[in-house]
Amino acid sequence: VHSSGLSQLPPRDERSPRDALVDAAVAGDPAAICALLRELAPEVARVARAVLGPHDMALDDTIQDALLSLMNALPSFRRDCSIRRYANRIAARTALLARSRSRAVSEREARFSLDDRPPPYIGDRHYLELRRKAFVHRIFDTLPEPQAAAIALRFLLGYSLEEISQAVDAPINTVRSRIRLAKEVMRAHLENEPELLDSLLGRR
Amino acid sequence: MTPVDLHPEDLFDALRVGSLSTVERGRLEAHCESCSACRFELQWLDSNIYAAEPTQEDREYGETAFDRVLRATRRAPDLPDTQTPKYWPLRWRVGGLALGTSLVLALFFGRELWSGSAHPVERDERAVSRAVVSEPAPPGPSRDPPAIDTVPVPSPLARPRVANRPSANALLAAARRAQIEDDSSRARRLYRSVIHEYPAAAAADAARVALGRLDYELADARSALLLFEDYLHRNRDGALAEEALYYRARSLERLGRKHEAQTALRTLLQSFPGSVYAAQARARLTDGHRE
Repeated sequence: VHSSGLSQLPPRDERSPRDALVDAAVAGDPAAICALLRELAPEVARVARAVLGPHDMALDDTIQDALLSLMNALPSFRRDCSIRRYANRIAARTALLARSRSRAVSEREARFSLDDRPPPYIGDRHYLELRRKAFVHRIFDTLPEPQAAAIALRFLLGYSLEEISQAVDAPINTVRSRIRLAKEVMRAHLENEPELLDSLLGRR
Repeated sequence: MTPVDLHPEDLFDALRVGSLSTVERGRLEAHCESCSACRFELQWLDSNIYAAEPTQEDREYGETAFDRVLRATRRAPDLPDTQTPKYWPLRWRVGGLALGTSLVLALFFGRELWSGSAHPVERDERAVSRAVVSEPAPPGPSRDPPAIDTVPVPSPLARPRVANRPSANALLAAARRAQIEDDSSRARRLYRSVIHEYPAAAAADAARVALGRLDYELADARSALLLFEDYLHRNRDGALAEEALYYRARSLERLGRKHEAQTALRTLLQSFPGSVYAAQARARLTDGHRE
Protein backbone atom coordinates (compact mmCIF):
# COMPACT_ATOMS: atom_id res chain seq x y z
CA VAL A 1 0.00 0.00 0.00
CA HIS A 2 2.80 2.33 0.79
CA SER A 3 6.30 2.98 -0.31
CA SER A 4 8.72 2.85 2.54
CA GLY A 5 10.97 5.62 1.30
CA LEU A 6 13.93 3.30 1.05
CA SER A 7 16.23 4.27 -1.75
CA GLN A 8 17.97 1.76 -3.90
CA LEU A 9 21.60 2.06 -4.82
CA PRO A 10 21.84 3.90 -8.16
CA PRO A 11 23.98 2.51 -10.96
CA ARG A 12 27.63 3.35 -10.75
CA ASP A 13 27.61 5.91 -13.58
CA GLU A 14 24.70 7.87 -12.04
CA ARG A 15 26.37 8.39 -8.71
CA SER A 16 26.31 11.91 -7.34
CA PRO A 17 29.11 13.65 -5.42
CA ARG A 18 27.06 12.90 -2.32
CA ASP A 19 27.24 9.17 -3.06
CA ALA A 20 30.98 9.49 -3.55
CA LEU A 21 31.22 11.21 -0.18
CA VAL A 22 29.23 8.41 1.44
CA ASP A 23 31.40 5.79 -0.26
CA ALA A 24 34.56 7.46 0.98
CA ALA A 25 33.20 7.79 4.51
CA VAL A 26 32.13 4.15 4.60
CA ALA A 27 35.58 3.20 3.36
CA GLY A 28 37.07 5.10 6.31
CA ASP A 29 38.35 8.32 4.74
CA PRO A 30 38.65 10.69 7.75
CA ALA A 31 37.93 13.87 5.81
CA ALA A 32 34.83 12.32 4.26
CA ILE A 33 33.65 11.08 7.65
CA CYS A 34 34.03 14.60 9.01
CA ALA A 35 32.12 16.15 6.13
CA LEU A 36 29.36 13.56 6.27
CA LEU A 37 28.92 13.86 10.03
CA ARG A 38 28.69 17.63 9.73
CA GLU A 39 26.06 17.26 7.04
CA LEU A 40 23.99 14.75 9.00
CA ALA A 41 24.28 16.47 12.39
CA PRO A 42 21.08 18.57 11.96
CA GLU A 43 19.06 15.46 11.11
CA VAL A 44 20.45 13.68 14.16
CA ALA A 45 19.57 16.71 16.28
CA ARG A 46 16.05 16.82 14.84
CA VAL A 47 15.41 13.19 15.76
CA ALA A 48 16.86 13.51 19.25
CA ARG A 49 14.84 16.66 19.95
CA ALA A 50 11.67 14.99 18.72
CA VAL A 51 12.12 11.92 20.90
CA LEU A 52 13.44 13.59 24.05
CA GLY A 53 11.51 16.83 23.87
CA PRO A 54 13.01 20.18 23.05
CA HIS A 55 14.33 21.10 26.49
CA ASP A 56 15.64 17.86 27.90
CA MET A 57 18.85 18.33 29.84
CA ALA A 58 20.31 15.19 28.27
CA LEU A 59 19.71 16.49 24.77
CA ASP A 60 23.22 17.75 24.02
CA ASP A 61 24.81 14.54 25.24
CA THR A 62 22.36 12.42 23.30
CA ILE A 63 23.05 14.21 20.03
CA GLN A 64 26.75 13.81 20.64
CA ASP A 65 26.31 10.12 21.46
CA ALA A 66 24.24 9.61 18.34
CA LEU A 67 26.89 11.26 16.17
CA LEU A 68 29.56 9.03 17.69
CA SER A 69 27.36 5.96 17.18
CA LEU A 70 26.80 6.99 13.59
CA MET A 71 30.53 7.45 13.08
CA ASN A 72 31.21 3.99 14.46
CA ALA A 73 28.38 2.45 12.45
CA LEU A 74 29.41 3.91 9.10
CA PRO A 75 31.44 0.83 8.06
CA SER A 76 28.27 -1.25 8.54
CA PHE A 77 26.18 0.89 6.20
CA ARG A 78 24.73 -1.56 3.66
CA ARG A 79 22.99 0.99 1.44
CA ASP A 80 19.58 -0.57 1.94
CA CYS A 81 18.30 2.93 2.67
CA SER A 82 19.55 6.48 2.26
CA ILE A 83 22.38 7.64 4.51
CA ARG A 84 20.02 10.20 6.02
CA ARG A 85 17.57 7.47 6.95
CA TYR A 86 20.43 5.44 8.37
CA ALA A 87 21.46 8.38 10.54
CA ASN A 88 17.83 8.89 11.46
CA ARG A 89 17.53 5.30 12.70
CA ILE A 90 20.72 5.45 14.72
CA ALA A 91 19.69 8.74 16.27
CA ALA A 92 16.25 7.34 17.09
CA ARG A 93 17.75 4.30 18.75
CA THR A 94 20.20 6.41 20.76
CA ALA A 95 17.50 8.85 21.81
CA LEU A 96 15.12 6.07 22.84
CA LEU A 97 17.88 4.53 24.95
CA ALA A 98 18.66 7.88 26.52
CA ARG A 99 15.00 8.41 27.21
CA SER A 100 14.58 5.12 29.01
CA ARG A 101 17.91 5.22 30.78
CA SER A 102 17.80 7.33 33.84
CA ARG A 103 15.01 9.80 33.75
CA ALA A 104 12.20 9.90 36.21
CA VAL A 105 8.75 10.35 34.76
CA SER A 106 8.20 13.54 36.68
CA GLU A 107 11.37 15.08 35.29
CA ARG A 108 10.31 14.34 31.75
CA GLU A 109 6.85 15.72 32.30
CA ALA A 110 8.43 18.89 33.61
CA ARG A 111 9.75 19.66 30.15
CA PHE A 112 6.26 20.34 28.89
CA SER A 113 4.74 22.40 31.69
CA LEU A 114 1.43 20.60 31.76
CA ASP A 115 0.56 21.96 35.17
CA ASP A 116 1.00 25.56 34.24
CA ARG A 117 -1.22 27.94 32.51
CA PRO A 118 0.34 29.01 29.24
CA PRO A 119 1.74 32.52 29.14
CA PRO A 120 -0.65 34.97 27.54
CA TYR A 121 1.47 35.42 24.45
CA ILE A 122 1.22 31.73 23.50
CA GLY A 123 -1.67 31.32 21.09
CA ASP A 124 -4.34 28.63 21.36
CA ARG A 125 -2.97 26.65 18.44
CA HIS A 126 0.54 26.60 19.84
CA TYR A 127 -0.78 25.65 23.25
CA LEU A 128 -2.75 22.78 21.75
CA GLU A 129 0.39 21.57 19.98
CA LEU A 130 2.29 21.71 23.25
CA ARG A 131 -0.42 19.68 24.92
CA ARG A 132 -0.42 17.13 22.13
CA LYS A 133 3.34 16.74 22.32
CA ALA A 134 3.12 16.43 26.08
CA PHE A 135 0.37 13.85 25.72
CA VAL A 136 2.40 11.71 23.34
CA HIS A 137 5.47 11.90 25.56
CA ARG A 138 3.39 11.03 28.60
CA ILE A 139 2.02 8.01 26.79
CA PHE A 140 5.61 6.89 26.15
CA ASP A 141 6.25 6.96 29.87
CA THR A 142 3.37 4.66 30.61
CA LEU A 143 4.15 2.09 27.93
CA PRO A 144 6.56 -0.85 28.04
CA GLU A 145 9.74 -0.08 26.11
CA PRO A 146 8.96 -1.99 22.88
CA GLN A 147 5.58 -0.31 22.53
CA ALA A 148 7.01 3.08 23.46
CA ALA A 149 9.70 2.72 20.82
CA ALA A 150 7.14 1.77 18.16
CA ILE A 151 4.91 4.72 18.99
CA ALA A 152 7.86 7.12 19.15
CA LEU A 153 9.08 6.10 15.73
CA ARG A 154 5.54 6.23 14.36
CA PHE A 155 4.38 9.54 15.80
CA LEU A 156 7.54 11.57 16.18
CA LEU A 157 9.53 10.41 13.20
CA GLY A 158 6.78 9.27 10.83
CA TYR A 159 8.15 5.77 10.29
CA SER A 160 6.05 3.28 8.32
CA LEU A 161 5.35 -0.17 9.74
CA GLU A 162 8.09 -1.62 7.58
CA GLU A 163 10.62 0.95 8.67
CA ILE A 164 9.79 0.41 12.34
CA SER A 165 10.16 -3.31 11.75
CA GLN A 166 13.64 -2.77 10.34
CA ALA A 167 14.62 -0.24 12.99
CA VAL A 168 13.65 -2.36 15.99
CA ASP A 169 14.51 -5.63 14.30
CA ALA A 170 11.10 -7.21 14.85
CA PRO A 171 8.58 -8.83 12.47
CA ILE A 172 6.08 -6.44 10.98
CA ASN A 173 3.14 -8.18 12.67
CA THR A 174 4.85 -7.79 16.02
CA VAL A 175 5.15 -4.08 15.34
CA ARG A 176 1.49 -3.98 14.37
CA SER A 177 0.61 -5.70 17.63
CA ARG A 178 2.73 -3.31 19.67
CA ILE A 179 1.04 -0.32 18.09
CA ARG A 180 -2.37 -1.83 18.71
CA LEU A 181 -1.59 -2.32 22.40
CA ALA A 182 -0.16 1.17 22.63
CA LYS A 183 -3.27 2.62 21.07
CA GLU A 184 -5.42 0.88 23.66
CA VAL A 185 -3.47 2.72 26.34
CA MET A 186 -3.75 5.90 24.34
CA ARG A 187 -7.52 5.54 24.09
CA ALA A 188 -7.81 5.13 27.83
CA HIS A 189 -5.71 8.22 28.43
CA LEU A 190 -7.61 10.27 25.89
CA GLU A 191 -10.73 9.78 27.95
CA ASN A 192 -8.98 11.70 30.72
CA GLU A 193 -7.95 14.51 28.43
CA PRO A 194 -11.25 16.22 27.69
CA GLU A 195 -9.54 19.21 26.15
CA LEU A 196 -7.76 17.11 23.57
CA LEU A 197 -10.85 15.05 22.87
CA ASP A 198 -12.96 18.16 22.50
CA SER A 199 -10.54 19.61 20.03
CA LEU A 200 -10.58 16.40 18.05
CA LEU A 201 -14.35 16.33 17.93
CA GLY A 202 -14.42 19.99 17.06
CA ARG A 203 -12.17 19.59 14.08
CA ARG A 204 -13.89 16.61 12.59
CA MET B 1 -11.13 -8.23 19.16
CA THR B 2 -13.55 -5.48 18.14
CA PRO B 3 -13.33 -3.55 14.88
CA VAL B 4 -11.99 -0.61 16.88
CA ASP B 5 -8.98 -2.72 17.88
CA LEU B 6 -8.07 -3.36 14.24
CA HIS B 7 -6.38 -0.12 13.43
CA PRO B 8 -5.83 0.72 9.76
CA GLU B 9 -2.09 1.18 10.08
CA ASP B 10 -1.51 0.53 6.37
CA LEU B 11 -3.84 3.42 5.55
CA PHE B 12 -1.87 5.64 7.89
CA ASP B 13 1.29 4.60 6.10
CA ALA B 14 -0.29 5.55 2.79
CA LEU B 15 -1.40 8.87 4.25
CA ARG B 16 2.15 9.57 5.42
CA VAL B 17 3.56 9.18 1.94
CA GLY B 18 0.62 10.90 0.24
CA SER B 19 -0.70 7.88 -1.64
CA LEU B 20 -4.07 7.58 0.11
CA SER B 21 -6.99 7.40 -2.33
CA THR B 22 -10.33 9.10 -1.70
CA VAL B 23 -11.99 5.78 -0.94
CA GLU B 24 -9.24 4.86 1.48
CA ARG B 25 -9.50 8.26 3.14
CA GLY B 26 -13.20 7.59 3.62
CA ARG B 27 -12.44 4.23 5.24
CA LEU B 28 -9.85 5.81 7.50
CA GLU B 29 -12.21 8.57 8.61
CA ALA B 30 -14.98 6.06 9.24
CA HIS B 31 -12.67 4.15 11.55
CA CYS B 32 -11.56 7.35 13.27
CA GLU B 33 -15.18 8.19 14.11
CA SER B 34 -15.17 5.33 16.58
CA CYS B 35 -11.50 5.20 17.61
CA SER B 36 -10.15 8.16 19.54
CA ALA B 37 -6.54 6.94 19.32
CA CYS B 38 -6.60 6.82 15.53
CA ARG B 39 -8.45 10.12 15.45
CA PHE B 40 -5.65 11.57 17.53
CA GLU B 41 -3.09 10.14 15.11
CA LEU B 42 -4.96 11.56 12.13
CA GLN B 43 -5.10 14.96 13.77
CA TRP B 44 -1.44 14.66 14.67
CA LEU B 45 -0.53 13.97 11.05
CA ASP B 46 -2.77 16.74 9.75
CA SER B 47 -1.25 19.32 12.06
CA ASN B 48 2.27 18.26 11.09
CA ILE B 49 3.63 19.02 14.55
CA TYR B 50 7.09 17.69 13.89
CA ALA B 51 8.65 18.94 10.68
CA ALA B 52 10.23 16.31 8.46
CA GLU B 53 13.22 18.55 7.77
CA PRO B 54 15.65 19.93 10.35
CA THR B 55 14.83 23.42 11.56
CA GLN B 56 17.33 26.19 12.13
CA GLU B 57 17.43 25.20 15.78
CA ASP B 58 18.16 21.59 14.85
CA ARG B 59 21.04 22.85 12.73
CA GLU B 60 22.43 24.83 15.66
CA TYR B 61 22.14 21.83 17.97
CA GLY B 62 23.76 19.64 15.35
CA GLU B 63 26.61 22.07 14.81
CA THR B 64 27.28 22.31 18.53
CA ALA B 65 27.25 18.53 18.95
CA PHE B 66 29.50 18.08 15.95
CA ASP B 67 32.01 20.53 17.43
CA ARG B 68 31.89 18.64 20.70
CA VAL B 69 32.55 15.37 18.90
CA LEU B 70 35.53 16.94 17.20
CA ARG B 71 36.83 18.25 20.50
CA ALA B 72 36.26 14.92 22.21
CA THR B 73 38.18 13.08 19.57
CA ARG B 74 40.79 15.89 19.50
CA ARG B 75 42.21 14.96 16.12
CA ALA B 76 39.60 15.12 13.40
CA PRO B 77 41.56 13.14 10.79
CA ASP B 78 41.63 10.11 13.07
CA LEU B 79 37.98 10.15 14.04
CA PRO B 80 37.21 6.43 13.81
CA ASP B 81 40.29 5.37 15.73
CA THR B 82 39.86 7.61 18.73
CA GLN B 83 37.65 7.11 21.73
CA THR B 84 36.17 9.81 23.86
CA PRO B 85 37.01 9.50 27.56
CA LYS B 86 33.26 9.25 28.16
CA TYR B 87 33.36 5.65 26.99
CA TRP B 88 36.23 4.52 29.13
CA PRO B 89 35.26 1.52 31.23
CA LEU B 90 34.28 2.28 34.80
CA ARG B 91 37.36 0.64 36.28
CA TRP B 92 39.58 2.86 34.12
CA ARG B 93 37.74 5.94 35.25
CA VAL B 94 37.93 4.95 38.91
CA GLY B 95 41.61 4.08 38.52
CA GLY B 96 42.30 7.37 36.76
CA LEU B 97 40.49 9.31 39.45
CA ALA B 98 42.48 7.56 42.18
CA LEU B 99 45.74 8.17 40.33
CA GLY B 100 44.88 11.82 39.76
CA THR B 101 43.97 12.33 43.40
CA SER B 102 47.21 10.69 44.50
CA LEU B 103 49.21 12.94 42.18
CA VAL B 104 47.48 16.09 43.41
CA LEU B 105 48.05 15.08 47.04
CA ALA B 106 51.68 14.17 46.37
CA LEU B 107 52.31 17.48 44.61
CA PHE B 108 50.57 19.41 47.36
CA PHE B 109 52.40 17.79 50.26
CA GLY B 110 55.69 17.86 48.39
CA ARG B 111 55.30 21.57 47.78
CA GLU B 112 54.32 22.28 51.36
CA LEU B 113 57.32 20.35 52.67
CA TRP B 114 59.58 22.19 50.28
CA SER B 115 58.25 25.68 51.00
CA GLY B 116 57.42 25.17 54.70
CA SER B 117 54.18 27.16 54.41
CA ALA B 118 52.15 27.81 57.57
CA HIS B 119 48.77 27.83 55.74
CA PRO B 120 48.50 24.63 53.75
CA VAL B 121 44.72 24.36 53.74
CA GLU B 122 44.13 27.85 52.39
CA ARG B 123 46.61 27.41 49.57
CA ASP B 124 45.26 24.00 48.63
CA GLU B 125 41.73 25.35 48.32
CA ARG B 126 42.95 28.07 46.01
CA ALA B 127 44.83 25.66 43.81
CA VAL B 128 41.94 23.20 43.59
CA SER B 129 39.40 25.88 42.80
CA ARG B 130 41.62 27.23 40.04
CA ALA B 131 41.98 23.78 38.59
CA VAL B 132 38.25 23.03 38.70
CA VAL B 133 37.05 26.30 37.27
CA SER B 134 39.66 26.22 34.50
CA GLU B 135 39.45 29.95 34.11
CA PRO B 136 42.53 32.17 33.99
CA ALA B 137 43.45 33.63 37.37
CA PRO B 138 42.64 37.32 37.82
CA PRO B 139 45.58 39.60 37.18
CA GLY B 140 47.26 41.09 40.20
CA PRO B 141 50.44 40.96 42.20
CA SER B 142 51.05 37.77 44.10
CA ARG B 143 54.09 36.55 45.89
CA ASP B 144 52.94 32.93 45.69
CA PRO B 145 54.27 30.89 42.83
CA PRO B 146 51.54 29.82 40.41
CA ALA B 147 49.83 26.56 41.29
CA ILE B 148 51.45 23.67 39.51
CA ASP B 149 48.23 22.63 37.82
CA THR B 150 47.65 26.07 36.36
CA VAL B 151 50.98 26.28 34.57
CA PRO B 152 50.28 26.03 30.82
CA VAL B 153 51.18 22.61 29.49
CA PRO B 154 52.97 22.87 26.17
CA SER B 155 51.13 19.90 24.74
CA PRO B 156 50.39 20.04 21.03
CA LEU B 157 47.10 18.22 21.71
CA ALA B 158 45.93 20.54 24.45
CA ARG B 159 46.51 23.81 22.60
CA PRO B 160 43.86 23.62 19.89
CA ARG B 161 41.30 22.38 22.37
CA VAL B 162 41.72 25.44 24.59
CA ALA B 163 41.75 27.71 21.58
CA ASN B 164 38.51 26.24 20.16
CA ARG B 165 36.57 26.17 23.35
CA PRO B 166 34.68 29.34 24.29
CA SER B 167 35.14 30.28 27.91
CA ALA B 168 32.32 30.05 30.43
CA ASN B 169 32.06 33.83 30.59
CA ALA B 170 31.94 34.13 26.81
CA LEU B 171 29.12 31.57 26.63
CA LEU B 172 27.28 33.34 29.42
CA ALA B 173 27.64 36.68 27.68
CA ALA B 174 26.36 35.18 24.43
CA ALA B 175 23.39 33.69 26.27
CA ARG B 176 22.54 37.05 27.78
CA ARG B 177 22.81 38.72 24.40
CA ALA B 178 20.45 36.13 22.94
CA GLN B 179 18.02 36.72 25.78
CA ILE B 180 18.12 40.47 25.22
CA GLU B 181 17.42 39.84 21.56
CA ASP B 182 14.38 37.74 22.53
CA ASP B 183 15.92 34.58 21.12
CA SER B 184 14.82 32.39 24.01
CA SER B 185 15.69 29.05 22.47
CA ARG B 186 19.24 30.14 21.66
CA ALA B 187 19.62 31.67 25.11
CA ARG B 188 18.47 28.43 26.70
CA ARG B 189 20.89 26.41 24.65
CA LEU B 190 23.80 28.64 25.56
CA TYR B 191 22.90 28.70 29.25
CA ARG B 192 22.75 24.92 29.18
CA SER B 193 26.14 24.79 27.50
CA VAL B 194 27.64 26.84 30.32
CA ILE B 195 26.10 24.53 32.91
CA HIS B 196 27.17 21.36 31.11
CA GLU B 197 30.66 22.38 30.10
CA TYR B 198 31.70 24.38 33.16
CA PRO B 199 29.54 22.97 35.97
CA ALA B 200 31.79 24.29 38.74
CA ALA B 201 32.38 27.77 37.34
CA ALA B 202 30.82 30.88 38.78
CA ALA B 203 29.33 31.53 35.35
CA ALA B 204 27.45 28.23 35.59
CA ASP B 205 25.81 29.39 38.81
CA ALA B 206 24.74 32.59 37.12
CA ALA B 207 23.48 30.51 34.18
CA ARG B 208 21.42 28.29 36.50
CA VAL B 209 19.56 31.24 37.93
CA ALA B 210 19.20 33.01 34.59
CA LEU B 211 17.92 29.85 32.88
CA GLY B 212 15.60 29.25 35.83
CA ARG B 213 14.15 32.74 35.40
CA LEU B 214 13.77 32.16 31.68
CA ASP B 215 12.03 28.82 32.19
CA TYR B 216 9.80 30.38 34.82
CA GLU B 217 8.79 33.15 32.45
CA LEU B 218 8.13 30.61 29.71
CA ALA B 219 5.86 28.70 32.09
CA ASP B 220 8.19 25.77 32.56
CA ALA B 221 7.96 25.98 36.33
CA ARG B 222 9.22 22.51 37.04
CA SER B 223 12.37 22.94 35.08
CA ALA B 224 12.84 26.34 36.74
CA LEU B 225 12.40 24.77 40.16
CA LEU B 226 15.10 22.17 39.47
CA LEU B 227 17.52 24.88 38.38
CA PHE B 228 16.91 27.11 41.41
CA GLU B 229 17.28 24.14 43.74
CA ASP B 230 20.48 23.14 41.99
CA TYR B 231 21.84 26.64 42.49
CA LEU B 232 20.81 26.77 46.17
CA HIS B 233 22.27 23.35 46.78
CA ARG B 234 25.63 24.66 45.58
CA ASN B 235 25.41 28.24 46.88
CA ARG B 236 23.17 28.54 49.88
CA ASP B 237 24.55 32.01 50.61
CA GLY B 238 25.60 32.94 47.10
CA ALA B 239 25.13 36.31 45.51
CA LEU B 240 22.01 35.12 43.70
CA ALA B 241 20.55 33.16 46.60
CA GLU B 242 17.83 35.73 47.30
CA GLU B 243 16.63 35.63 43.73
CA ALA B 244 16.84 31.85 43.62
CA LEU B 245 14.90 31.50 46.87
CA TYR B 246 12.19 33.91 45.77
CA TYR B 247 11.70 32.36 42.34
CA ARG B 248 11.88 28.88 43.79
CA ALA B 249 8.88 29.87 45.89
CA ARG B 250 7.12 31.31 42.84
CA SER B 251 7.80 28.14 40.90
CA LEU B 252 6.37 26.04 43.71
CA GLU B 253 3.27 28.23 43.70
CA ARG B 254 2.81 27.67 40.00
CA LEU B 255 3.09 23.96 40.49
CA GLY B 256 0.34 24.11 43.07
CA ARG B 257 2.63 23.28 45.98
CA LYS B 258 1.34 26.15 48.11
CA HIS B 259 2.55 24.90 51.47
CA GLU B 260 6.11 24.42 50.25
CA ALA B 261 5.96 27.83 48.59
CA GLN B 262 5.00 29.45 51.88
CA THR B 263 7.88 27.72 53.63
CA ALA B 264 10.26 28.88 50.91
CA LEU B 265 9.08 32.48 51.27
CA ARG B 266 9.58 32.32 55.03
CA THR B 267 13.07 30.93 54.51
CA LEU B 268 13.82 33.88 52.25
CA LEU B 269 12.59 36.36 54.86
CA GLN B 270 14.56 34.66 57.63
CA SER B 271 17.77 34.38 55.65
CA PHE B 272 17.59 37.75 53.89
CA PRO B 273 15.29 40.07 55.84
CA GLY B 274 16.60 43.08 53.94
CA SER B 275 16.25 41.47 50.51
CA VAL B 276 14.80 43.37 47.58
CA TYR B 277 12.33 40.52 47.37
CA ALA B 278 11.31 40.77 51.03
CA ALA B 279 8.36 43.11 50.46
CA GLN B 280 6.99 40.93 47.67
CA ALA B 281 7.51 37.81 49.76
CA ARG B 282 5.61 39.31 52.69
CA ALA B 283 2.83 40.43 50.39
CA ARG B 284 2.52 36.97 48.90
CA LEU B 285 2.45 35.39 52.33
CA THR B 286 -0.40 37.65 53.45
CA ASP B 287 -2.28 37.77 50.16
CA GLY B 288 -2.85 34.09 49.91
CA HIS B 289 -0.06 33.55 47.38
CA ARG B 290 -1.89 34.67 44.27
CA GLU B 291 -0.13 35.57 41.07
